Amino acid sequence: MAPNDPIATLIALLSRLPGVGERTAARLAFHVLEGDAQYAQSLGKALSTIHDDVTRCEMCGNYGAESQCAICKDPRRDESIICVVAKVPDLIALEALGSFRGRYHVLHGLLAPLDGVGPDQLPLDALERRIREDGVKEIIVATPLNVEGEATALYVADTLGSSPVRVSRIAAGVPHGGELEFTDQVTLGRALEDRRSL
Amino acid sequence: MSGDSRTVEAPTRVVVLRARGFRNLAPLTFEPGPHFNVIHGDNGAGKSNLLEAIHYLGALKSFRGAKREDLIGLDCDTALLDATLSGGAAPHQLRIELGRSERRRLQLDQKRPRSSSVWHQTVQMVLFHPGDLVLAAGAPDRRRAFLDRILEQIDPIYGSTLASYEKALRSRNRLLKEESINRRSVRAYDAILSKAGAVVGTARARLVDDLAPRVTRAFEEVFAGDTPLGVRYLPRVEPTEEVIVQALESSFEKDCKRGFTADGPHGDDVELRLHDVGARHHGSQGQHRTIVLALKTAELDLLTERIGRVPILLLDDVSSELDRSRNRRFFEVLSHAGGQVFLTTTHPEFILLENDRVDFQVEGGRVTR
Ligand SMILES: Nc1ncnc2c1ncn2[C@@H]1O[C@H](COP(=O)(O)OP(=O)(O)OP(=O)(O)O)[C@@H](O)[C@H]1O
Ligand SMILES: [Mg+2]
Ligand SMILES: [Zn+2]
Repeated sequence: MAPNDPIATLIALLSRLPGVGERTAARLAFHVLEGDAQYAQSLGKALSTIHDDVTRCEMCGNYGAESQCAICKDPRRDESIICVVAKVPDLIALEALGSFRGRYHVLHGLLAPLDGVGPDQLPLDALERRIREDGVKEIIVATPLNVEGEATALYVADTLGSSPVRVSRIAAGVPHGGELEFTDQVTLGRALEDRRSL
Repeated sequence: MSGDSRTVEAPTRVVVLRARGFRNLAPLTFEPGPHFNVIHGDNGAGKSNLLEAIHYLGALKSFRGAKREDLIGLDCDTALLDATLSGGAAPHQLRIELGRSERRRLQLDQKRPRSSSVWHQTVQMVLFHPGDLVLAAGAPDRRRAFLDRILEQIDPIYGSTLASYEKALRSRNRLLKEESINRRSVRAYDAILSKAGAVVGTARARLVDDLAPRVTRAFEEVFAGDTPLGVRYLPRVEPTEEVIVQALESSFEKDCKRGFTADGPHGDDVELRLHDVGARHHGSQGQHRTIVLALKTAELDLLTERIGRVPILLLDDVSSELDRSRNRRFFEVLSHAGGQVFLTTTHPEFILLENDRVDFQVEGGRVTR
């Protein structure tokens, strides 16, 4: 392979994406190369600006264009109830239901001692601050129902044990070890409704 | 044993197995007979490799504890197993692709299975190999593994619950090794361990209750064990949520000092007693062999009853382990069960079977009939 082979470079970069092997990367690269040049340019531009154009909301951790995300800015959202999720795709899955009218807190991770992730790496202080300052009455922990998700939920409940908020957990309608992102809407809707207190 | 045959369905059996790039096996289309399949050949020919391939179809792991790379042929990139099974509700199509760098790919009836539990509920097998002697003579973890492998084939949530338990345990142990231990972090795992641990411990204790009389009977009646064999589940702590959580709470300080979690079903054992002494340390080698045979016979009997059909039975080099009369007895039991059996041997003439038998020869990884 030539040192500056642009096709090889593209393939190598694509194959670093999760779930994309060498073979799929090659297929994608040739698809882009042999297709519309306009599309390739748009894709490249979107990729090159995404880090500058998107920031984390300083309130909840959701992604948005400004320092506060669309949900936190929306005055119709109930600020007395916060749903804690592991990652933004989970927030999007819950938003797609349309039934939750509160706000979110995105942890961008879960407790995972085996991967070296402890409570200090999660924005839990920020959550406590919001509870103190924003008149929050209820926290729903919607982390996945696997070991990391359960441990994080229990840790959060334990941490908030002394504050006056009600802490609940989405119900086990979600498959054992399930990821929210991949849970169907009916199941997720029921899990949210049937939440149990922690 | 349960010869009155409450089974409603035809035994599970391999109709055809295609293997490519698996261990030293040459590309293979293997069509075994419905009953006894005697696989013979010299040492190192590939007999156990063939048995390992069949067993992988059910267990999704090597019974010799080999890693995935070890299963792939030395000059191959991938190993492929493709099999048609009959028995049960419908024939099943299994496909397993093992790559050196990519993830393992599984297909059950042309679809990716939702979980490994779905797979284990579809293909049930009983394996007996020389390494199984540790069931009688080895450490408790071998006996727990014996129970776990049975349970994952009959209980659809057992496998995932056990996996959760083990992950929570490893996580808690990691926290206990940290320099400054965060009590709250540790406690988050106590709740998971007690919930999953109660499920695991209770399932195992019930299984042993069901298994014990079968083992005792097989030991005395079939294999003419000279003394009565007692079998009992020996939990480290009573497998209920309350007791486990209490035990974890009260041994927290000690756990911190030793750097691991002592209490819970990961410390359980199956007690085997001959007369009134523990068989593990006091039994003779011959008694150990007979105990293992009795355990395996009971396993076959119980699985047959629970799943409603006879599982596939795999015997690696077993007849060399047994004397002539026990050997004959064992094959009588197996003939009576009526399932599909695969057995390997260097001496096919020692396999004391006349009927329902197909012989295969293995030579340098090539299997011929
Ligand atoms: N990944 C692999 N690729 C190629 N050959 C392998 C691989 N793994 C093991 N082998 C070879 O397979 C052979 C062992 O096969 P196997 O264990 O099936 O023997 P066997 O017929 O059961 O012998 P025995 O009678 O001694 O038990 C060895 O020669 C070994 O080198
Ligand atoms: Mg062998
Ligand atoms: Zn926000």
